[in-house]
Amino acid sequence: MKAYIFNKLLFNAYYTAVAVLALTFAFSVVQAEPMRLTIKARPGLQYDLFRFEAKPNAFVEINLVNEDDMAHNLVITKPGQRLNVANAALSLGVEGDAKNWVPDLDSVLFSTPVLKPDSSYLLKFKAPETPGVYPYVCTFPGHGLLMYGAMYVDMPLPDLVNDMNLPELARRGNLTQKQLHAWGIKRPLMYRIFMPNASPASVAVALRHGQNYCWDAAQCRLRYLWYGDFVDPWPVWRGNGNGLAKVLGTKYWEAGSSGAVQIGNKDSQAHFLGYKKIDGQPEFHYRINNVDIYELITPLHSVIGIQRAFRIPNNKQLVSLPVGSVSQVIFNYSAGKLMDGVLTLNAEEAAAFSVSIGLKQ
Amino acid sequence: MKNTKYFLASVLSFIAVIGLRAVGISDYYSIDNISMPKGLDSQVGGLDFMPDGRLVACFHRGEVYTYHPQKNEWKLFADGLQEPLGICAINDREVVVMQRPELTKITDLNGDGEADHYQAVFDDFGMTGNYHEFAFGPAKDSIGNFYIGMNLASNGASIRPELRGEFRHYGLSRENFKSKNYKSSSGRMYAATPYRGWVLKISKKGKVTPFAPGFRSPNGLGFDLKDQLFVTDNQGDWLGTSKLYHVQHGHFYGHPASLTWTDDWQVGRNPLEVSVKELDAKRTRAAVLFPQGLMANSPTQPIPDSTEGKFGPFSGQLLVGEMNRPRIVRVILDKVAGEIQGACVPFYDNAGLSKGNHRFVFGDDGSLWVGQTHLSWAGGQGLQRIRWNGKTPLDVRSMELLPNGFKITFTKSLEKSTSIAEQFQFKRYYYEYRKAYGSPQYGIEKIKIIGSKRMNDNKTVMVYLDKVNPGFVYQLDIKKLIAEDNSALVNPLVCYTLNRMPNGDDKAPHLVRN
Repeated sequence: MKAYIFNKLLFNAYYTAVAVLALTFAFSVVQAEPMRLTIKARPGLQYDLFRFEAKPNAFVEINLVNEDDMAHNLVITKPGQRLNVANAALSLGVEGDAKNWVPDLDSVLFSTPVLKPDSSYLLKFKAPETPGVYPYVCTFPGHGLLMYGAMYVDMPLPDLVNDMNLPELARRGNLTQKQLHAWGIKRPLMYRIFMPNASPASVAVALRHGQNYCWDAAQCRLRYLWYGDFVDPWPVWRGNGNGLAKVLGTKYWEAGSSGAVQIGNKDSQAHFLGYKKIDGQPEFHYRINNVDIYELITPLHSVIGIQRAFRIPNNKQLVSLPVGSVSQVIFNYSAGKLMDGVLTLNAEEAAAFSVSIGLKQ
Repeated sequence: MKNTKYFLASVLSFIAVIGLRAVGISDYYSIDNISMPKGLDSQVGGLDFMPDGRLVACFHRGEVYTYHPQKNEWKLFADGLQEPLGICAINDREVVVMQRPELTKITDLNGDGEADHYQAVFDDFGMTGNYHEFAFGPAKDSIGNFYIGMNLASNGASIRPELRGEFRHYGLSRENFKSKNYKSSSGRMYAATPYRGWVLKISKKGKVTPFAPGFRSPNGLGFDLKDQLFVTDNQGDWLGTSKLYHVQHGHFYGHPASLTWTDDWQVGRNPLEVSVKELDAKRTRAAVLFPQGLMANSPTQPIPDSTEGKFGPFSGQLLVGEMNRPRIVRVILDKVAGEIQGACVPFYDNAGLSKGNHRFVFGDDGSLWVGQTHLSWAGGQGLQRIRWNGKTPLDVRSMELLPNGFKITFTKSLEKSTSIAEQFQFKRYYYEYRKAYGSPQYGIEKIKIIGSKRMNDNKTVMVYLDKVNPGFVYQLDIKKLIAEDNSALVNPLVCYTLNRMPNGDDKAPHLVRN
């Protein structure tokens, strides 16, 4: 699979080179034939083609195909404007959907609508006259940090490994995760596996929108969050387990010693009881002080981040949740009182509440 | 015609010599390779059948698949498990899996063939994060209680910064485990959390009983048809050679690291420093020893032939997997003075069988399904199916200890002119019970046959020996043996573990060096 992808990359590069050559040749004969290419949106917040070359003023047709299980678009921006455009898209808020998450900015050059899974769109445009590296990016909320590429207009292509206009994965020449299972790549995905900075009974979960978390089944608490690629389990799986899974992507929150629910006043050991899969995502079930707790972690929709939804249905006691360091993230809670880093809820509030942790951009 | 046959036989023997195909077992059994889902790491951790006839298997990277043998169709049932090494089907929608951190009941609630609910049945045991802390089982008794085996940690690695469960070590603090020379005090294999080195019982209602300590690497738990629990263990420290134990509640099986988690163990007392004599007096010896290099180096699951004859003439006997070579071993039990001991004999060698024979289950049709693994040690991967073709091989069917020799019964009548004294050779040896890794064979000695007798059925022979004593493996090599129907003996090697004489004498002080 890895070899296949790599070949595919080579093929794409080859295809681009041939297309450019053909285009040059075509220009000298007839002018109108556009440069055609296909870019696929792939699972794991990636475009399958991460860079291509275009001549100044060339006619380009990009067939954007969404092969992922969530929505994506493609926006071409002025050089160096990728993050500005992606952040402006985020701040569209409720207006976002209507605008296809494309902000009204001069730095936006061309854009597709938001494509649902298994749909495609033909984007036609004339390449800019000014030489430069023009980013293309998915501005759907939460995607722009990872899902992008670059159009080179009359600019030399640097070596792949040194091309800082590309996502890290692309620089590694490895656009997608290794295929480690018969089903290929999918999200949500969950592994019980040895994880760094957590107990030996840990759970790693890949949610949609490139969100990932580590939850500790020995201590029944969330340990840390990261976005981007999931984990490389190979250090564990290649042998007999004498290794830790490697966290890929970017870590943005760690619980430290916090994150465990407390019932009543006394500290009590949590007992892990298992989980139910809801839309492929585990809802953990554990017991503290003889009180059942259910916790479902889902991705936030408009920013990078997650929501922890708790249900504590048969409880008469005060519930507290030390939320840990939240100054570096956007922290929200649906009920209770937050004081000195501890969220406190009465039994009624605690029957169903949620907290969310989002990346500050 | 005869010449051709002879030529063919020579070719086949030649091939056998270079190790590709042995003559013998393939005349009676055939083997198929089962095609596996593409992209799956097919190292098998557990095998069982659901009542509706689907095979269910768990794999190294945490998947559980069902397989429809008629349709040759795999379907994902569950995933995300941590090194599952055993599976037990409860019904068509539910399995219980032993994975590293937990015994887990996995249920398909909505009946779409894919599990949605994972219930932690039992996870109240410790984990240091050491790679060697595998969890084995579950074996189910006739009432529905589960038995699991907890591997010791290996000093091939230390413990990790975070643990699950209580930490207790006789020689090292948690801090000391970080030092470079932790190995000098940790023990070759160690039990720094509960209940490493134990077999545990989890009752149908969920009550947990620490059942028996003394194990090192119990990668194989199984009940025979008489509801007796058997557990294999691997050669290493405190195990002179690999073993099969008949496991009973409260007995101690020889590896001392686990003793630290017994109720009455004096905290801080180092079990590795208890005198070997004291440990020897405390331990229950293995029912069967598998001589290292000869019979098995890493035995796996014991499974009784429950096919009532559909799998050949060994109904009721245990088969045991072997990792290091393409072999399945057969065990011939003998109850002597109330205790179980017995012999082992190769059952299936080469002839298309892979290495790494790890997990087994019998199908309704009497075929034996074999799942392989390696976990980066010697072994293999994939799934095979062995079928009997209805012809009876000439093989040892039973072996019983007499006060002065053995009574050996074959699967069919022997050719009348066979001379037992000429064709049978006995020797004996023993393995020391000691802290060091493995034991050489000591006291190797040829044992003279002083007499023999054939019974009228021509299947049973009595062999009388000049020395019969407890605490030895009696190895029988049969040079040439032909049945009345002219077929040759398939497996000429039999190793009988003599713990106890018919009069109950089991004294064997030579097993411990002074």
